[in-house]
Amino acid sequence: MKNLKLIALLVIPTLFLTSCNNDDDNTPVNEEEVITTVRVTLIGGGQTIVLEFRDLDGDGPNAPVLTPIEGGILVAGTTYQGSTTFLNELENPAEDITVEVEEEGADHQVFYQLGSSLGTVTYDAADIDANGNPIGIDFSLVAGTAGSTGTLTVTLRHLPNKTATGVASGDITNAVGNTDAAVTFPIVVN
Amino acid sequence: MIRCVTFKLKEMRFLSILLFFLVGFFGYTQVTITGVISDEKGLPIRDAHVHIANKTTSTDNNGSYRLSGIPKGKQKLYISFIGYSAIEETIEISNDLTLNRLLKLDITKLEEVTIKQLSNSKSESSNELILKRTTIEKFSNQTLGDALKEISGVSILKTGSNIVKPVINGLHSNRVPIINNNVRLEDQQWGTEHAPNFDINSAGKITVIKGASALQYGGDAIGGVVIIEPEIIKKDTLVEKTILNLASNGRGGSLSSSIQKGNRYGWSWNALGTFKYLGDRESPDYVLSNSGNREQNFSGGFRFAEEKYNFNAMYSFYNAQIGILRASHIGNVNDLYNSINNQQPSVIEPFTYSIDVPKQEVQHHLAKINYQRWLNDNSSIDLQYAFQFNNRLEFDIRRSSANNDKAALDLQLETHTLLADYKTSIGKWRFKSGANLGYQNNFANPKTGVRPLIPSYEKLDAGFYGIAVHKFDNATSLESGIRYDFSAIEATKYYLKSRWTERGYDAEFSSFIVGEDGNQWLTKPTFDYHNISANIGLKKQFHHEMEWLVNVSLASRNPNPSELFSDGLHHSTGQIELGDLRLQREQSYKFNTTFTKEWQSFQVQINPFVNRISNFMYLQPIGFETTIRGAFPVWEFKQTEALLTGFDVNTTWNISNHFSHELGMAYVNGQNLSTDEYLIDMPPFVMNNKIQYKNESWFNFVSELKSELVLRQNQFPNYNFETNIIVNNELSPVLVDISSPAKGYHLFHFYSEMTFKISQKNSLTTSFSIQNFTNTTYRDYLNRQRFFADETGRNIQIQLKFNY
Repeated sequence: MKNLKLIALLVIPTLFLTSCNNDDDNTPVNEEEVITTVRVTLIGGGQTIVLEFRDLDGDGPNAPVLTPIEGGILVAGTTYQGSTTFLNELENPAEDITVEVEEEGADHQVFYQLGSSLGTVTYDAADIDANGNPIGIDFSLVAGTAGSTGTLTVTLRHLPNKTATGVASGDITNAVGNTDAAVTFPIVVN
Repeated sequence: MIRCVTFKLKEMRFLSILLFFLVGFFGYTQVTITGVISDEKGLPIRDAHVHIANKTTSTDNNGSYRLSGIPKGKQKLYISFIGYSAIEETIEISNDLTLNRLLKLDITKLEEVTIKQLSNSKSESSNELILKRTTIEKFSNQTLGDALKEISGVSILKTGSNIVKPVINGLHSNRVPIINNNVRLEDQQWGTEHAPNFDINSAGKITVIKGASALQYGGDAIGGVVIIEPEIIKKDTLVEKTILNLASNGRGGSLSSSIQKGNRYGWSWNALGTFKYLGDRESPDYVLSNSGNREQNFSGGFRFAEEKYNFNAMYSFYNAQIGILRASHIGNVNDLYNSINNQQPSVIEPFTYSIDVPKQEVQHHLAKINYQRWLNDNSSIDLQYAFQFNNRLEFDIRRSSANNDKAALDLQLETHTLLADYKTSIGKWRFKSGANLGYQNNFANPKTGVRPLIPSYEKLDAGFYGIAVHKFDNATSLESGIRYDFSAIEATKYYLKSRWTERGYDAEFSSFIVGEDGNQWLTKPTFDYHNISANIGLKKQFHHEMEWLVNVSLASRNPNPSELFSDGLHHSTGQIELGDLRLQREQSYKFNTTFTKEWQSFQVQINPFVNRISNFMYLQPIGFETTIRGAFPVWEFKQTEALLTGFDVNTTWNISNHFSHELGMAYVNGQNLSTDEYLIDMPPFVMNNKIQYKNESWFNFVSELKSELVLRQNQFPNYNFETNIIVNNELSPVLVDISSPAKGYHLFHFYSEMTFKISQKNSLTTSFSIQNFTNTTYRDYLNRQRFFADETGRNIQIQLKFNY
């Protein structure tokens, strides 16, 4: 009984002390998990094509900005060596998130969806995670028939089911997981 | 039902006329009975209930009572007091009489509600629905919300199976304050996925009032109020209790143990500890991965009482770790679409006890001191200081798994409240008045690396109220009350400049801007509110077996921090939620009436209500915003004119000595008058039927079969939207159906118990129950995870309860 009273008397003031917190802590949140920029670089036919989506206000109301505005103009039948870069440009210097995706390769995969007349995308066989499954940062793209127009959608999935049907060859249908980035570029094949 | 009411009204009038004549005619045959009620030691018992014929009264300080106007002849006498065996006898009355009686202490009765209350009711003219200790104990392994669902008109809003919020007549969260031990629970109740931080095992009695008529607890109870009181034993005795629960679904259980030293005067104290440990729950077809939970709770306190005063202090600590269904974490609306259409969680792992991200870790500390003094026989004052500290950590699946053990949300809410209440009764009047002063400080830790939806803020509250009750006679009383509340809030928040402009705050709120940092404004939004709430009601006992309550209340609720300041992506719903600094307080006018009628073995209670709410705050989709993760639907807090109507019905039928039947029904209709739509998330029609078999000679055997019928909610707004998903490598538009309610369902539950008396003081109650024993697969409209997974399947529970 006496002990209990003592405990109560001790506990109550301790609470006050521990709760008198950090009022001066009005620092802004340093957003760590933001991807502001998705950049796809295609090299082939003596040409380097850079496609970029950039959204500097994250979940804010401003829509991402596409450059170049007309998207990618490919040459029919050409093979392009492609790679995708994810950046957080709110950091200075910009943080290259691609490094983290590569490091935690088993938990990530990049998917490319391209209309069949526009061409085909194949993962680079060397770009694999610890389990031998593709990560998908590096790829090759063979442009399709001239006169086609459509889109290329690039999706970064977190914790996908890499062993589900079709996922290893780049089909997103059964991949599940959560989407960290999903952008769509216009594509024209000449 | 309508027929039933008219019948009652007619009968009521008939009976009152009859009564009038009878009283007039037989007036001269009436006698007066006086007496003293004492305990075994010969000490007088105050506040004992004395009931002779159709007259009732309570004993005064000297244990004496006086009842006049008792008709001559054979009359029933009934005397009761908490913790004592009641006296029930029939007496022949021919002259004025003195009837002294001695009440005997009953140990088993101590398990029932034994609560010290200054006034017996919290609201004179509103229907108070009470969960008793024995019912609460059945939910020892579950949550407050699960227990409250036993009351018709109370439904639950869930996130998975562990986060359960009570919904009263269609409203929840900030519209339903929870008063724990005379302290208003401040546990970040604004969030729909924030469950009350409370250990159900520490409740001795729970009262639900479906309206704002309990003004002493606040003027903002637009839905209703839940009042939790601990068990206080006023007898010199030591009571120990241990409850062990084992559950098949979750493959775990809980252990709760309490010890209480009761005393009428002098020192008394209590302590309680609860541990809960459950792994993944299972639906009929699959494991609900990452749905385990843990709790470690403690509470303790002491009390010193003398005849004229008492002092008490208590402290409680609630500590919970709650897993959130793994499959409910989504990245964008495509993921949501896939989840809704697959009808199967995207992640199903084998059963495990471990809890991974996403999860919540919440802690709630409550400490209070209270001093109560009787100024004279009829008046008392009550002073109280309470401190609460609530820390909510939410862990999410981070893009970089190295960050998974760092909370994505860290809110620290600290609340101090001072209360002073004064109660007095003068003749046929009873007055209650009081004042409160509160300070609250919320700290949103910026070290999470994620912009918080709720900013840091400071809030000051002050209020006072007065309630008067006039008893015209034993059968009629009128209650009226008024309350004023002042509230001032100052937040500190970084807004993205683009958001600030998009919200149109530039012109109106530029004075709030105090600094800038890169693409963000540092703002200090400040708001003051002055609110009036009021209440008037009548209680009328038409006849011994019939009662009518009617109550009209005005309640005002200020916008909460989430409604004012939210601006970002809510990961659990895949939607961007935007608060609005322009929101005004919402006001409700609620009309509530209850008819109760008792026959020999049948009781019926009907409680219709109309709740007209102006400036009703709710979330409504307003469009899309595109981010690097794709397009997200944007939901904005809006205000509208709303009308909620509905009714709750209860019946009890004692079929025979052994069999009884209970029925509970509830219906609510929510209208958004401004848009001519239904309101979202209104509970569907529910009907519960329970048949009980009881046989006291078989070790108090009780066996119950309960049917729970929930119809599909057909009254809902259509907030579906279109999005593009990739089909055969091409983007194609699809409809994301977030509006369609889940199908109706019908569940069966079984419960049975037996009590073995080991000695005078020791007993063991064993119970065996099966929830959802047909293992029905279903989803519930009011579960925020209905897009991702089925509800839990069959659950077999064993409970052992020792009293010693």
